Amino acid sequence: MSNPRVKFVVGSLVIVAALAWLGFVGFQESKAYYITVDEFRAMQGRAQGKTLKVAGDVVEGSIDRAKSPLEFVIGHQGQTLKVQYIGKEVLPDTFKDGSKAVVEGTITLDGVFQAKHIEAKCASKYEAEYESKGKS
Amino acid sequence: MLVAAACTLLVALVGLYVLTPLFREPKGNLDVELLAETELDRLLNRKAVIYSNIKDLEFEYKMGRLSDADYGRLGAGYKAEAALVLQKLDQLGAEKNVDEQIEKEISVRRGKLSSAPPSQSAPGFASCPSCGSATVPGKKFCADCGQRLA
Amino acid sequence: MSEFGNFCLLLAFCLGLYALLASVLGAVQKQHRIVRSAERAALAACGSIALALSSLVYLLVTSDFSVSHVASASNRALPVYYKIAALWGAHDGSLLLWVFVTSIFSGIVIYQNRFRYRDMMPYVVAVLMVNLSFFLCLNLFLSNPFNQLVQANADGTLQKFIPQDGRGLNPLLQYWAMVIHPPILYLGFIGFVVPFAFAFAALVTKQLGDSWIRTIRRWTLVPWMFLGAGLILGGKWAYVEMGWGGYWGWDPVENASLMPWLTGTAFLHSVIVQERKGMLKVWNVFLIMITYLLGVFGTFITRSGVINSVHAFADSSLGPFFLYYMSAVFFVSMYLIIDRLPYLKSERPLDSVLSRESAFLFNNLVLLVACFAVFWGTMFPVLSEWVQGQKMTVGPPFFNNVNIPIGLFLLFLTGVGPLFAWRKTSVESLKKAFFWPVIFSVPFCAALMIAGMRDFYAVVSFTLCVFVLITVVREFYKGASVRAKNTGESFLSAIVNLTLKNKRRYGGYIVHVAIVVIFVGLTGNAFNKEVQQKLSKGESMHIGRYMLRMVDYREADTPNYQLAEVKLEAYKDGKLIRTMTPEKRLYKAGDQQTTTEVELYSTPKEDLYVVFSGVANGGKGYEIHAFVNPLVFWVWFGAAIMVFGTLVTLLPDRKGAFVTPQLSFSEAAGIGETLRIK
Repeated sequence: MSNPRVKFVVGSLVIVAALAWLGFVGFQESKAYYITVDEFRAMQGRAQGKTLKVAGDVVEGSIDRAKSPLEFVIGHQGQTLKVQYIGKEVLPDTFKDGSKAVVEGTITLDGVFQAKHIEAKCASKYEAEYESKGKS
Repeated sequence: MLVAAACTLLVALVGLYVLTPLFREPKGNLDVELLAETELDRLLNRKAVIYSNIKDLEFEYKMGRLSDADYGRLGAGYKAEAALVLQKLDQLGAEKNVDEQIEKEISVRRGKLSSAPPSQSAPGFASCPSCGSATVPGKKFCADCGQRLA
Repeated sequence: MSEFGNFCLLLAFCLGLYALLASVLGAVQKQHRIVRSAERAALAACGSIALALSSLVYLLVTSDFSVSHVASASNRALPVYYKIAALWGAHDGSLLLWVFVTSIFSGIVIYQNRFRYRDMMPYVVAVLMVNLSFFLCLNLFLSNPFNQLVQANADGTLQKFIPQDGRGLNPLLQYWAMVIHPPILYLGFIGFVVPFAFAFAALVTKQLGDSWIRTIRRWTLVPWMFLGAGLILGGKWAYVEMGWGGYWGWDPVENASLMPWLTGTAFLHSVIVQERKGMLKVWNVFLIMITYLLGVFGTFITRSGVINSVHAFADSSLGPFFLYYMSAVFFVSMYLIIDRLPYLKSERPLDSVLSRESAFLFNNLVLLVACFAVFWGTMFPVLSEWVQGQKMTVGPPFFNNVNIPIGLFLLFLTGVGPLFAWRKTSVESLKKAFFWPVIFSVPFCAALMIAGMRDFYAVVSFTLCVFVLITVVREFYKGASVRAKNTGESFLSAIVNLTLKNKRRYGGYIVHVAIVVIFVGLTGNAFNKEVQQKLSKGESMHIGRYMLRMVDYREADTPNYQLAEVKLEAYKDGKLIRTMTPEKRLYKAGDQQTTTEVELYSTPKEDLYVVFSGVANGGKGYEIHAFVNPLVFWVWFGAAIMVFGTLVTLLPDRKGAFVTPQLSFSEAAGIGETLRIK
């Protein structure tokens, strides 16, 4: 132990091990499977109890702000999923009819997805339009 | 039309600017080996670093951050290192006469660069009388320690 | 104009390739004139790119919507300064800006060193040109801002298409911090190419002594400063524009700019050890390579669409090219490092764990662990999909769990490191050095506990902040006293002269103070409060010491957007402080995006942050989301100190001193040669 190099290496290992453990704990706490609505449907019963991130498009006209908690439906490739937003954060501005949304949460026994966190991205209509016309 | 003219003009200008050096009298060649750091370079640099380490050590001691024992031990260590470097410099015959050494080095290199004989008016490189680092002719003060130069 | 711009880009690309080939040829053939020609080509490429950039700015300002970039990033109603900012409002134009910044950096380096480092410069030029040509190539052939919009006719022929109005600049980008944040971040990302080029040239020419390190000191600090400033400006933007009450969310793009900053910080520290002790040579070359690659990686993340992010551009097809480029750079550099290992031997071993060297080593270790953790968390969705075929993500708890302890440990080292002596410190010296910092920070810690603070990390953080602050103040105080005694100056001028005499050390201390101030701000996060409530006119809500009373609601129309706002009276301890009007805006151009305009009442102690999140059920109430975020002000203030400290370090030395101190023989020979020819 008198060699400073050995001491340094031992110290480093202790630090790295401690951080790795903390990282592992944080990882267990926050890991989530990222799937689309149709993949979610394909999972059926296995989805119970897992934290999931489900991606899909917000179905036009499905956002029901009158209900508390707020409800809406997301869909992807013909499959749909009813979502209840139970989170506390302000909904992102990009969240609206037709936008691409990723909801993070768990599925309840009656088949409604309870989302604690929502990310949304505008489906860019204009981009698509220009792309069809644009040429390099 | 206007665009085409502007583009042509641009190409012409750029071409002229980029290609002229190729046809000019070459200002010496590039020889990586000749220009590489020498052992002397490294030793002089080493010496400068050890000196600044010693200066820092003294300053930190005066600031009251070091115990007397640490100061003595570290100082002795640096001095031993410095002595070793100085000894090596002596072996190279540099420390006694840096001036001559540099002159020699330059003319050797110049001889290799072009076969022309070294000119008489070659600039002299001197060392600072106080700290021994190389100085540039025409400067009034040493860039390293601030000593006034003749 | 668009044809001219396009031509300039093409010309720059040709010049870049020429400069690359000519500099390598010149170096191999040892022909100085070829190298000169290569350098001129590189400078001409800068000019050419500047012309291309000017033409795009011209197209934007004149609203020429036949050009796809202008049509997609600007519109007529936009004010002129946002029209110019629209240059980096879409992917292709921002790549042009990126290329421009790169070329400016390359040009300055080449001009600065036109008489110096003649042996290394050809390779430096070559590396700079590889970098420039790669980005130019992407910009020309894959993502060209000068593309014209065309429309297919019924018979299949193509015809020019000019829309009535452009799609408009993304409203989220219409904010001052956002306008200057991308260029500043680019300066940071791409600036690391310069130290990397020198390291590479040093490897090729086997000049692995200290000369390359000395050259790049400044060239590492400049991008480091810009990257740091860019990071915090990005945070400021998120804080004010995104409306979720925070400034850092471990978003992939934020992470991507944090990573090179972490490794760059590690490099800035470990390079001192190499200069002083001749240790860590391999490590430093490796670090600078990684830092450069992470800068490119950051560009890759924002542009490849591999990872979803609020900051990223929409999907583009550039991904694979970045991967090829990065792996090529990585493997070539690694090969060179391994090949040159004998030249990179450490000059002495580590003497003791209680030494400044070892403090630097630990600093490097945890910075790299932090970088690795951030990388792993950011790339986890991609990695897990490769390995398991199942995409998984990790969230903020992972990043926080790893990075908060690392941050605190670094803060601790910031205080402790400068107190250690080089090589070995005895316990007795440590007692002397630590006496005052401990005397101040331990009672402070006790006071915090007595005052009822129970958050472990917050207590540790505040205590360490005091500890570090005292050590730095003492460094200045004792240093200035010694100097005043030696020179007979007044104490104040001794402080100034002390700093100017040793800009690197004392500038560094100022940056350390900045880090402390930023940590104070970050720690404030532990005490954030938030309340969400539906209010009708006349009702009020409470948060902390504040009360918000709803007064009015109105809707209005402007040329650029429609707005809805609520008027709230904010009271602090029962006293009216101001009226706040948070808004929702609906922008008319393009996607008709809504944005949230936050109202902020900011004091050094805390920010009151109010968001209007919408009209609740049938107009019977207005949803208000209020936050009290303590100490946020200090994050922005700390960033300003950081820039100031770095600028102090960067102050030019007295004239002449910059070149002469350790004039090496290679330079002496070079000067002799030029003198003789004249």
